[in-house]
Amino acid sequence: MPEEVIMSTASVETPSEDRWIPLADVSDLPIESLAAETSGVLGRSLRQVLDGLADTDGVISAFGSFVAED
Amino acid sequence: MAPAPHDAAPWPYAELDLEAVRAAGHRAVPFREMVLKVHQRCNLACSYCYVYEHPDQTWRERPRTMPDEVRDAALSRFAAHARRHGLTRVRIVLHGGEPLLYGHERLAELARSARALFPEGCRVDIGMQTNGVLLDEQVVAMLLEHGIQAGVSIDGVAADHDRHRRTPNGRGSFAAVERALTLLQKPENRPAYAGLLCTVAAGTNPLACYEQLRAFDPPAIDLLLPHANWESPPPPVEGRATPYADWLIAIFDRWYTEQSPPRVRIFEDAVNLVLGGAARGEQLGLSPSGVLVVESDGAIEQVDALKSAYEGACSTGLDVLRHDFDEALGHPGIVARQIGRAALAGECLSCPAVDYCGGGHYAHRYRRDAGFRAPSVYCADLLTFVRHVYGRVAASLRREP
Repeated sequence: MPEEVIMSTASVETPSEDRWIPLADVSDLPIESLAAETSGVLGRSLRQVLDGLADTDGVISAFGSFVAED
Repeated sequence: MAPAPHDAAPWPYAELDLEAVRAAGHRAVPFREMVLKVHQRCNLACSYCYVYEHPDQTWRERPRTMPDEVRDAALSRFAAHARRHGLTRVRIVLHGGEPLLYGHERLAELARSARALFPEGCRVDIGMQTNGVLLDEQVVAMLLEHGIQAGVSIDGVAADHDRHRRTPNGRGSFAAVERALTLLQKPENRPAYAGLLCTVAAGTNPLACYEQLRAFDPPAIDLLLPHANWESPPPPVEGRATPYADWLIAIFDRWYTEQSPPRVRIFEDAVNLVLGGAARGEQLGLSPSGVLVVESDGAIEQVDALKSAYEGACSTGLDVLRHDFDEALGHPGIVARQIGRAALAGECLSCPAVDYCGGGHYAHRYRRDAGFRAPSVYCADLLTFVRHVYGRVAASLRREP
């Protein structure tokens, strides 16, 4: 995991009350390389967000105990 | 078929202007998932079951077992829908009641028929949501042979599970489910193991629950808020303003710091949403629903979680013996699940977290005077949970939101 995304378990920041801007929009971090280099939950989620860009419908399904192997 | 009693839901049935939605350029999203109610009865009598213990009692009038004629029509309709819309991947979820009461030979036949009907180039995933009690070696062999993946319902540690998930004579089912999960965990059986579904019980120990679920080494977990609405609110927990958020956050914080945690859909959805991605589950976000249910009598229905709202809440008035799936795409209840923000209450639209919680699960929004256009009955919990996830991810990225 790159140094800049090493997390502190105590770190929680508070979003602005006006509007919670999606973090990928404001991070200024190169998301592709970040996704490739980051391990754990955050890395997996970044890769899912990138993969999801190709899915324009993005439909939901009813059963969360089945998670498609993408 | 009796007309749907949708007077109980002003939104969307009286208030959604379908013409205006079409004029605004709404494009119907084809169905990707069909939930087949192959058997209407269950060998458990869970205290919170939305099929049997909530206002909708339509199960009483439907055939116990889905007739072959209905099964064949449902599969043909879905295959035709996939062909018409050029779908490359669909999912069939075998459900009930308890789907294993349908019989493993009939389930095998259904899977064979399904795969033969869909066009080349369309992958057909078949899943089954089971309570696990009847899942033995013979059943697992059938699941493996026919490429069916089983999701198993289990509510954490034995004492918590057995408090709610009991046989009709009052015996807990944990021991039987544990046997099933021991079978599914064997390396040769893992292709048939989809994951675990756990209903949140806010008064219980969340980490004990998570550790119990982890002990079964599931590929995926879903944590489902109990179905509730403004007319039938969730059980409160004394001294807690947001007991469901607190319970989820306790597990989220453990999960988020693990190196290789199992997939937990509500958590993955929350993280993806705050990163600017989309949700794939019903509990968060604004993604369109691509789910249709076919009951054992052939009725084409909306997601069955709506049974928790009022009698007939899932009804579309359509059935697979007479109607194409495309006809359901124009039904107000279906359209309302595909138009994102336009289906939300004013309070939701003015909330800074609207894109993340997305109004919560559609079934949890129900209020008699508003129908399904009210904030979720879990609004305070969802806001607290999503705020926490946002904060954790923002801190990880070391950037100001």
